[in-house]
Amino acid sequence: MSAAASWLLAFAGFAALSLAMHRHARDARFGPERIGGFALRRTCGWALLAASLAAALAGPRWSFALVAWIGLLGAAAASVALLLWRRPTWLPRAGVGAAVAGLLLLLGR
Amino acid sequence: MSRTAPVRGLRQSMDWLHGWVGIVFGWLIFAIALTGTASVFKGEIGDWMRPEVTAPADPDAALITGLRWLATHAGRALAWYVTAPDTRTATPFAMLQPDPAGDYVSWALDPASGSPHGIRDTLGGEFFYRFHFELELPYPWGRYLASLAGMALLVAILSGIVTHRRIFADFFTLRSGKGKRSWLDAHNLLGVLPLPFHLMISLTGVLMLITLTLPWSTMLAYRHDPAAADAELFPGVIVRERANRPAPLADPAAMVVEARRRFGGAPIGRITVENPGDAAAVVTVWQHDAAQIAYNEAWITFDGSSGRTIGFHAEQRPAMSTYNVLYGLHMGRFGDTVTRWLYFLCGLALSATIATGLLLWSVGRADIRDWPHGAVARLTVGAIAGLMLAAAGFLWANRLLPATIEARPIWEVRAFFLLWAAALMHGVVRPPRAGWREALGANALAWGLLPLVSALTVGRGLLAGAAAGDGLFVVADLVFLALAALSAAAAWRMTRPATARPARRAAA
Repeated sequence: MSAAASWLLAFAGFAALSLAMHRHARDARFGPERIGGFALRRTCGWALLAASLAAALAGPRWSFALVAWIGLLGAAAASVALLLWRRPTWLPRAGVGAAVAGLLLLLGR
Repeated sequence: MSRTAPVRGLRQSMDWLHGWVGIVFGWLIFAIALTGTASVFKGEIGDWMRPEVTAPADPDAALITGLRWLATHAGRALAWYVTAPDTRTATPFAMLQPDPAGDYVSWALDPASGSPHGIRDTLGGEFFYRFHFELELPYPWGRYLASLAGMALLVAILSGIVTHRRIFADFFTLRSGKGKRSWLDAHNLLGVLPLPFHLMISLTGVLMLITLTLPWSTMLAYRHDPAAADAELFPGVIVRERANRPAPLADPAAMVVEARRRFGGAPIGRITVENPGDAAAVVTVWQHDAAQIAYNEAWITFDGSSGRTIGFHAEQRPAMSTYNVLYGLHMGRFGDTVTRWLYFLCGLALSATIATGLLLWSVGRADIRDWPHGAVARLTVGAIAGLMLAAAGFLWANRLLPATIEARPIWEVRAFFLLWAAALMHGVVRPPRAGWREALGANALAWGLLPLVSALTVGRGLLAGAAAGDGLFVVADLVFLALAALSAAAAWRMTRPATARPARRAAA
């Protein structure tokens, strides 16, 4: 199911990108010792978004998949925003979980 | 113009523009956006509103049966426009004038018998779809107004992007309990995260009506001869005068098979029959729009009485293909289930962006107590909560109106508009906060009780459906209950004292 993998990877990517921002890292209770990971999280975030695109385009009809992927990106970013709003401390683990699940789905195709 | 600042910056100008476009067109754009969002599930809404149809249809078989029924029962009509059933719509639809002097009717044809009898007469999802771009106004004024609203939306989106200073810094930001700030966060988030969709849908929406809003190039190129323009737009579509010699229609089954072969197996979207029952009958079969993103990708024309192929066209022209892809993107008919739901969610987000924008305008100016601000705050209640209530009323009317009543579809539409008018008046009469609470409460009741009303009147629904694998009715009830829960939660919030403090005018 390429849509599921694509959404999971986009969610993980946006989670990493948001945790590379001071405000959200603070909301997720990241201590000062983890501030140094900002650049790494940003790189991981963009890489995961690229993987999400790859997962979307892996299907038979790339034109349909591209339209759906743009919508999935919005849905994934909104999910990150909602989690940051209600349960910000869950976000790091949810992001890692989504990345693992998404990559497994992508590679297990 | 300058009061204090000698020069108004671009951002201030855009802020001013964003606010005024929003307040002038906001209610209209909200109505268009919400009905457009409902139209994503036009077929499903239609099937829900025609609970008599239970048999899963084989699209081609249903189409052939429908055409045969029309040939024996609607031979006097000048033309039939038949839409094929597909994976998400159970019935074929026929648009025709059964009596050439009378009105157009739209019939849902039973997929098994081909006849419209025994199916309740309703516009179904077609009502939301038509309202979305015609606004129940006479042609072409509704389309002009919808086009104007689309342009206004585009202006609002672009000026909103310029005004929004912190698109990336606030990309994930949603802060609760901060009055105006929270509304602004929600407005920004709903506007920014699905921004590609918002831009695409408003731009393509305006382009779809471009021949109406900018007709002059066509007029100039074709010297006021629209038939010549049509002939070039749709090569292979044959227009013939009536011969006034009766001739039976050739077997539609053979035409369906031939069309499927020429379309490379892609499904059929619709069939038009001009001059049925006449020697000059012409049958045009159009490829389904689910086969590719582009709209109107291919069609084949048959001589109606002999069944011979007389025209075929598969779109290769770059300009037409580009336009058809933009058109198809707006219609979203190519979408699978996931894409449909994403269209639906993005459409809801767009509607909510407009609603929160309208709310911001009154919340942010709660300290200003002049009549224009009061009027906007009060009208917004009926324009937003009232429209949702009217949509629920439309579905209630579908279940409660007797099947035999004269002009049944018109009464469903009347129920919609009467309820909307009542809600608008209620919003004007009551103080805004009480108005919101009561209108949202009414929404919670209307949507929450709809599954019960539906189950009692037609016997299909969440409980019966879950046992029988009736997916459509299960999902429909879940959506109604979700709408009820959202309305109830919003109404409950309105019962708590206002936390909004009169904030200084912050740039969005």
